[in-house]
Amino acid sequence: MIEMDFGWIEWPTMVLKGKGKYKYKDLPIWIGRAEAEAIVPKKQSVKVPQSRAYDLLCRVIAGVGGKVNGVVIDEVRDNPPELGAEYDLILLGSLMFKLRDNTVLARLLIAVGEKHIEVDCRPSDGIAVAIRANAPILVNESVLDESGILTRGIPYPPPSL
Amino acid sequence: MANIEMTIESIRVNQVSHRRVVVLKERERERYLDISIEPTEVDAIVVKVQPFKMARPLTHDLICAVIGVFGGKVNGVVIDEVRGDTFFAKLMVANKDGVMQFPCSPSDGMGLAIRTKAPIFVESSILDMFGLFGPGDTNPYSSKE
Repeated sequence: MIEMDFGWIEWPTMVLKGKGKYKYKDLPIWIGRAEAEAIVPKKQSVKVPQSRAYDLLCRVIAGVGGKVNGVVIDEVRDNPPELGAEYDLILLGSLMFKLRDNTVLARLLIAVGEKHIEVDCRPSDGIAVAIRANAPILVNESVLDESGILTRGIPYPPPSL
Repeated sequence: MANIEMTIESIRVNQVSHRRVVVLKERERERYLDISIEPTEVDAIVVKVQPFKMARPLTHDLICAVIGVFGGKVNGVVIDEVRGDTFFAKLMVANKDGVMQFPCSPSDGMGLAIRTKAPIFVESSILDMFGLFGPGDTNPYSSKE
């Protein structure tokens, strides 16, 4: 398991940044519009008028005395190619790369007292909750080897932005 | 204040603003309440109203799963507050320690209620203020009577 930082969102992708040994590895993940909108205000400390589903989820977890221990991004499963479907080319910063049609499996780690619970979720949901709870984002090494992109230390977004 | 049980009558698109509208109908009467909500939140309801199969759990499925593993049960959702023209709701979750209330948005509440087959309630004062009457119901304020 490697701990990664939230990098940035360039919808429809979210990028996780590696650290330490994996400093030059980024992991892009497809996310939905609503998920992106739920994460960005949290990172930029913008106040949004109404609470979103994630705030409700955090409240529910806190209400039963639980604590979010983190989110684990486990596995990438390629979906069978559909007839006529083409892979998308995505321009991310200065990098052009292929985004595969795949499903990323994640699980949310919650602790209640001594009990540790894992719940199946989408990476975007898990990361949105982890960011709200200041919990670590963990990525399985095989996922990073398979889907990570080498950035060679290109800073993005540029510091001037 | 009495809470009135509602059913999800339909999900529509406003032809003018293109906003998605969930139409709630009173179970006992032909009185409706329309709540305009975000397209993505509507999707979370629609996949349960119609027999869609999702590859991965949506956010509301995750919330249901979390409530489930903690041994909780969704007792219902109450739409009980209006500020400006925004509705606010409360989610009622019961576990062995009692019933807990969590503030939520009506769309989240309805998304969870439809997944857990829990009832949706609206406070009567809100229905008096925002309710719409169908042809089978009589409007007490109508000038025709």
